[in-house]
Amino acid sequence: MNRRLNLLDYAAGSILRRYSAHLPVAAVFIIVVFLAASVILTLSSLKKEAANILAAAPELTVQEMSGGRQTPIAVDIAEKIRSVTGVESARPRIWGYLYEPYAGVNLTLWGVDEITGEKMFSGDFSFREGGFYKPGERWKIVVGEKVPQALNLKGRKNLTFTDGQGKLKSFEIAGVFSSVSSMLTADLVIMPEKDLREFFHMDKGLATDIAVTVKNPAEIPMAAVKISSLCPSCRVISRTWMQRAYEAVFNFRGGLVLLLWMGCLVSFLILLWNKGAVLSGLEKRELGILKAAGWSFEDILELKIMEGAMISGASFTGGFAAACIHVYGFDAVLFRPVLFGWSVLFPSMNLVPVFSFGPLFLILILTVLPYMAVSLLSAWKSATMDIGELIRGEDG
Amino acid sequence: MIRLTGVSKIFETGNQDITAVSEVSVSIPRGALTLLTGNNGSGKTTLMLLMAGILSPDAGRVYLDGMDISRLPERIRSRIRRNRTGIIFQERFFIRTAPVWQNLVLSLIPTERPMADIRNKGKALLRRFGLEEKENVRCGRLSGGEKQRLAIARALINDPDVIFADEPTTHLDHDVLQMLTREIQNWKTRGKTVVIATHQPELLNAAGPDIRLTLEKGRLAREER
Repeated sequence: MNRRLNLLDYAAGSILRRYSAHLPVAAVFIIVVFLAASVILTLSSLKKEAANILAAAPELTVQEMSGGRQTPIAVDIAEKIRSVTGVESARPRIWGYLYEPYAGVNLTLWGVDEITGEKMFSGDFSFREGGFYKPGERWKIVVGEKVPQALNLKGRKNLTFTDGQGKLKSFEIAGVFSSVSSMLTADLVIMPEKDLREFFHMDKGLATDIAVTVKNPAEIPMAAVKISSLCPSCRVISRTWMQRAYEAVFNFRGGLVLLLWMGCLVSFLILLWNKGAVLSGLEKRELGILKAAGWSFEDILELKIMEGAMISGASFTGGFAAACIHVYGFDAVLFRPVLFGWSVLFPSMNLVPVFSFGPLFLILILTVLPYMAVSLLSAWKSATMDIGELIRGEDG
Repeated sequence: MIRLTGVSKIFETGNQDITAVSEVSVSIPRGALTLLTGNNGSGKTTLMLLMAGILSPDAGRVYLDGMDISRLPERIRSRIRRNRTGIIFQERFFIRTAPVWQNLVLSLIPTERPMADIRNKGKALLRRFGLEEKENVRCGRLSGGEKQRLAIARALINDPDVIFADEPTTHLDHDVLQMLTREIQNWKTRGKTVVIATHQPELLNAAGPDIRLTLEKGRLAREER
């Protein structure tokens, strides 16, 4: 035990003494881990956000299609859908997007009646300021906690949006809410259905889509088929399909970035190989001195493995810590345009920490293992070097 | 006791082989002070390194207390170097960026002794050689004389039975030379076997050598007892 501690002490001192020789490899190591961990942590967070949003989504969403594009759907269709066996409810919804050019952000406007609003705010939503608008109140809104900051309201409660016909409409903020999903709190503006219908200039008999709930999850596919046959011009989207689509998009983007990362990894491995293949004059001299002092092959091998483990462990930890700061402290600013896609238009979005051990273990395997292998190769070469070559010098 | 029988060592340099030591047979009894002398390139250092078990002979045998160290695996030879021999190398053989104390205790690091004990032993030796204030100084910052004193101290850290020294008098000032002479006499009185490779044997006369081996072109030219 003491022998190991003594070797550890010597290994730590040796690394500090030759820090300038270890620094370039450690720096590249940290960058490689940082890049991969940043992508993985960001994707995990985005997937978690998507899952949070979809958890609140209806089992089926019915949209009217015309010429391959979504158009408003007739409210009457909801009545027909309710008659389908297994369907629990079918509720027409009014919602849409609004681009706010002055702040450069995309907002989601959602029409909510008082009953639905109460249900929403008894679950994952909670008010940080104010409360829900009263029944019958007009042009009152409740907004996600990031919205006032994004619109630069500075405490003002009144704001103006331009409707689809270029007319200005004033709104008053009745409440500011927070949610488990920052995707929702980042861009959501909720207002009475009647007001939103007027703002979007949507006819009374039309809605954006119809949210359908099904009693038995096993009956969702069958219900979807029946709804499709009932309304041939409609598209029926299930929550499971949306979840898969989200994951596919995030995985595709993440895959592209990780493909580029593979290039960095290969460069890192080549750098490592070169480092391990050639021993510097100083290293040779030190090994010669150690051998002359009675260090055995095993002692030198152990020392070099300890050095490798310390450098790779510290670099991995450093890279991972930097990635955590980048993703959770700076909202993955480097990868935002690539990984977030359209959602970069969100006013601002804090990624929630999600830790998945599997991918991080993979990074550990891809970086620490090659480093340890090269350290071992280098150590083997060092330990088996002819001591006479190192010691003899000029023969007297 | 050190015994060599028909020992030869050949070094390959490019396409030419150089015979550094050729068919040397000699016996050095326990507790003797032996001087290996000869001109530059005569094979003194190589012969000393063969006796110390650092180099392996291409022919012949090297025995240390009856054990054939020339045929032992490196693992066991390293243990012998760590436990039984001390070697004073020329001043270039230090880890320049490491502190003095670490250079001193190198042979004790891969042992089961606690680090605190190792450092205490190192401190005692540094005091004995007047280097206690240099304990944490990097070796590269020591003067030539200080390095020489440290080299001697390092050879004694494991309290060896046999001490080898490679040109210990090179670049020594008068005070360090006197200290070295006193140390060698001290080792002799304590029954340690001492082998010194030097091209200035006259500087060590005061130490009272028992055996003088003169080498010429790798061969043992003269043996005086």
